[in-house]
Amino acid sequence: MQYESSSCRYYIHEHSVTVVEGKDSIKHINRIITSNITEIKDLENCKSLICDANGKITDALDISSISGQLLILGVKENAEKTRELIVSGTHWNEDVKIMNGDGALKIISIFAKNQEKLSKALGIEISTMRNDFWIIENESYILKAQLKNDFQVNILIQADLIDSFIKTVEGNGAELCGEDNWNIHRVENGILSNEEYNRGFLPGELGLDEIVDLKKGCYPGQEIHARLESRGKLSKKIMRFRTDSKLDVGTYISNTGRKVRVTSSLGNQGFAVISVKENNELKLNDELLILTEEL
Amino acid sequence: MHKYTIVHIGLLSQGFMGILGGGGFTLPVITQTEVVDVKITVTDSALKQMKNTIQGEEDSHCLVISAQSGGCSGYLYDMKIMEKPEAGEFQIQEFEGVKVYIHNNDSSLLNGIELDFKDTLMGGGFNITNPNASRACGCGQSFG
Repeated sequence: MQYESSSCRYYIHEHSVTVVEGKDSIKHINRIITSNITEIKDLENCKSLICDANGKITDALDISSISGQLLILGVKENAEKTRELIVSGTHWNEDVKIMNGDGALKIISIFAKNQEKLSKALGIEISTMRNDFWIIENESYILKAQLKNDFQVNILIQADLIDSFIKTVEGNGAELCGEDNWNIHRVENGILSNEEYNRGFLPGELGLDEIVDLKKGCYPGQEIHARLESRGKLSKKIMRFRTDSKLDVGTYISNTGRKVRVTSSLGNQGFAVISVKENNELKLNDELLILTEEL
Repeated sequence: MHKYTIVHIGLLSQGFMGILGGGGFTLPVITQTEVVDVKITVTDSALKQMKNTIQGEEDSHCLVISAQSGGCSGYLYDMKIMEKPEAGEFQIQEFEGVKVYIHNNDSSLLNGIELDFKDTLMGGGFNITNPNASRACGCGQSFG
């Protein structure tokens, strides 16, 4: 399954948007998350996680420093819980103001298999952009995403400017992408979603070790992550799979008797969290499942 | 052990002049609104230690106990002997002349705590038992 290779598509995300400002905002947020943002630079975007005391992921965040404020994008379904954690843990003597940006700011992803098409749709040269840093263009912020196969940028824009922005990119050849095509794009490019983040996995099980910093000091879940790291006892990992028959999202038992959790599926390919003891080929209900790649 | 009370979040719309140049829009500020009447207990050993530490400065200084996000279990205790802050947003309890301040924002997390002091070489110092915590870190500094 593939979306039309000649096209450039855009997808409007439903993220939770939180803005934190004040001189102690970085210190405050850094105490909660798994990565270390104490050295975050202006316009830099950092990926991070919030975990519970058992080390399991409760939210996945993109944190950006923009003009002295922190912009925090999270999984929409987790917005209330994450904001509650941020607000209730504010120290009385720290300068931190937390704002709800839901509905006021929007994130749009524009992607294509061809970099020139993407540049044309946006009217800017993508190849010269740095990864992980926003650039400011007209009244929007643009961030280049590093993907496995395709090219993508994410746009941060005021919600009331979105119509004119869409008119421009559509005029330059981009087409609106629905949920189905976005899922094809994200599975092909190894982009995780709330289908993975909201199922109680540990960061290592989703291949997210690199956004866990065990040297930064305590954060919720750190004790568990440190123990797993030192003992090397992760029992599951996320893999891309393919199969000849249709496989829906759900939990299955393999021919080896172990659990296979299919978290995202396009039918005959997707992501599954499986035991590290499984071989690269296994059977589910007599159908062959081939594990092609670790994410 | 009780699970801590869920924080109620209040929204106050305020002018916002930051991301994307601001000017044209406002974002609601989220604040914590749940305040409960705080009652804490202090053991004899903790009181003795508090008096030793604050000795002679009872009129100007106090003990502030607070909670902040972080630690292995979600929240971290913070205790400071400091000059008395403005009383406005604090609840104050007095123990034989030593005043203990708890901020209204921390009231639901810290109501009912018992402050103890252990005079041991290993694992000694002030220790908090919190009925609102469903779990605590081994080091005793974090709870959730």
